[in-house]
Amino acid sequence: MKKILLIIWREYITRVRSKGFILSTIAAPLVFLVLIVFALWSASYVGGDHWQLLVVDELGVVDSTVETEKFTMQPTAEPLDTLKRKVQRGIIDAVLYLPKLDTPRIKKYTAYLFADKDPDLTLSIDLEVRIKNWIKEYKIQALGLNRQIVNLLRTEVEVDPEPVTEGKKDKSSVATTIASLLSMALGYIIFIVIFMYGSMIMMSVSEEKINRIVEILISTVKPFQLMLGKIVGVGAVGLTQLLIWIVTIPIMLFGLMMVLPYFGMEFSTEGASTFAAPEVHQGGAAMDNETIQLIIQELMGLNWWLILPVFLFYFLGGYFLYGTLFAALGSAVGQEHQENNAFSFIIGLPVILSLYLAMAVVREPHGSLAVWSSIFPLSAPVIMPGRIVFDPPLWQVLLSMVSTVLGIVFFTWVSARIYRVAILMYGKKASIKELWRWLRTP
Amino acid sequence: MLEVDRITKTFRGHKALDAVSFTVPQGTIFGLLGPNGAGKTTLIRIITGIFMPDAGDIRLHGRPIVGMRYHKIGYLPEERGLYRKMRVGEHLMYLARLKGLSRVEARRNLRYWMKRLEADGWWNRKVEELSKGMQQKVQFIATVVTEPELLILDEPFSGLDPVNTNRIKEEIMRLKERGVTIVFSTHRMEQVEEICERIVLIHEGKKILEGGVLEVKNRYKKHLYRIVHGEVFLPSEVVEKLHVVEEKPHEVVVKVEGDDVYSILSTIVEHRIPIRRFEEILPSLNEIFIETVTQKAATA
Repeated sequence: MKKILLIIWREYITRVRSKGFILSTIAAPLVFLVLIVFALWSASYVGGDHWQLLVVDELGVVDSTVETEKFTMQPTAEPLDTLKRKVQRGIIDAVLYLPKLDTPRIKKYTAYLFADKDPDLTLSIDLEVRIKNWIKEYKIQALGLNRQIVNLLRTEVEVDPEPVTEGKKDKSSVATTIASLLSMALGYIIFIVIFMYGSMIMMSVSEEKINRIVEILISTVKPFQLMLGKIVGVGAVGLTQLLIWIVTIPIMLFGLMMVLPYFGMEFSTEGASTFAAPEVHQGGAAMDNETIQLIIQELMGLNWWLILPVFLFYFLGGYFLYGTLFAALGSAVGQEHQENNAFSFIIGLPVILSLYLAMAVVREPHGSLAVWSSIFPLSAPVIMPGRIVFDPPLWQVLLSMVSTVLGIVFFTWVSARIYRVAILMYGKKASIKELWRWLRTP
Repeated sequence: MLEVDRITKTFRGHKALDAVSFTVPQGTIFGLLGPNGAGKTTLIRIITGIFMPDAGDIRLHGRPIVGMRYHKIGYLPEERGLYRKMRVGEHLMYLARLKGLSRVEARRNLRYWMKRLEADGWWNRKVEELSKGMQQKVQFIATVVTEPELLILDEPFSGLDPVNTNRIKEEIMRLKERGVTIVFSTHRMEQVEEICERIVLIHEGKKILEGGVLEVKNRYKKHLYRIVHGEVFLPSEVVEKLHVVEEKPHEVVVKVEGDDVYSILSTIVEHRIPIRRFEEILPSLNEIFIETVTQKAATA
């Protein structure tokens, strides 16, 4: 036991102190931060020229000057030809011509923008949206419609699931969305963990084989102890990194929210659609207080006492299950990196497939695909944490856990058998046949 | 004393070791010899406890140590390396503590050995900053730091310059004086002649030769003697009488049946030949090695 602790300690301390760890631990949240800032900035970016527009309004819908970041638009009574000459001489940038309509019963309307330079997408979209609204106004008046009644035609719809049996919890309409997002997020975190730290284990094992220290180690400790020590050591590194991120990322995000307004950026879901005119997202992506409350209420209402332990179980379970396989792989491969990548892809394949399955599971969390893939040990660590959000029957959760534990025992056994032989096979390539032989070596 | 007792090991139908037995007395340097693929590494791995034998026993001072990874064995493998990114002191501490030394013991022994091998300034240096020869020294220190009873050295001098080779050789001799049993495996026969007292030769998993170095050489001697003399060439009647097998200016090699040295000497005295040197020619271990191995190959 003391030896395993020493191995864990060495694995942990040398990794945590390495430049690679320090860089990646600090760099990852920073990259995340930069991405967010960049996304916000690019979404709210308004650049290019400021257009001076005059509008010839035969519809009679533009009654005052419109001023935006992108353009200034003024109604005018001057004839079109004069205006075109003004455009030619560069006095104004363009003339917007809204031709008269003979009847409001039209499905399509064409306005004309007289300009020698091409309008960019921001301007075109903005104008289209504005003209659409103007046409609507025009039609309401021309058809003599009651504006209040017209407004009534717009209805927002939600489907609110209600329990039938008494005592069951009532959920709001956002519950499914929240559960789905959470479910995907949990599965995705485990996927990342398995891949990132799995390949770290693999590299660590093959490093010992390549630099030949393994023979000295193996004359002192059992291969199994060495393998286990490595897996636990790298796991501890992973947990450390995650803990650091759990603390730093929210702090950074909070800091960002405080700082952003000074740069004229908003930290909200509106960001994604701010390139269109203000009218565009009336009742659009902007979350009102009520929705936010609902989300918080739903999140609080989730059974975290079940979700968190289950997530932690599969977090560790998935890591160990695949960790042992990656360790065996590391012991079997040589220095050819391309080959190693190909092999690690083969081992990673079930994890990638599980992630695809997870999307299907989110759509139908109680379908038979979801049930069985959450019990099969190779996919359970990714699928079950996602399913747990949807309250699966307890027997399925327990069966999945038992199957995961059995999977860990089995794959540890398989990996240990391959590892102890392969680790001392210098210069020998691991074919599937060879692996099978190593497995059967007494 | 190390006893290797009828050790047999088979890998998938291939007999890597076939009932190999030999004894290494305490405080001797023992050469474990054999061509590539003879089974030396497998045997060493069985002694160190990495492999389990199919049959047979290994005893150190009478105690069975099969499969035990006995901590009083110091093993310097031929394929050896270090963690490149670790610091020397930390690395050595790790290896010493894995071998069961307490932190205090490990530090004390390491200080002692690093000073002895002129490596005292290396504690905080990274392994990757050391030259290959320096790394070899670090590995040697890691092997001896536990004060082993049995030391297994597989090609310990590879990669060392002559000065460091000598330093390590001195240390090996000193450990031997202190009663450490040393198994020394190499292909460099001149090194074996220089430091080993006894040898065993393994070929294709079988022991084909064992004994003291001098004893083995005597066993394989061709009864040849070299006479270096003052004449350019010896008179022909002397040449005839002496059974000369090779003649060079100032030198002849003669074959003496039954090792009757006195008859040679009396002939020389009789003819009043001014001799400068008279010596028995023993085969080198290299010659014995090649002879026995090729012989075996021919008979096989």
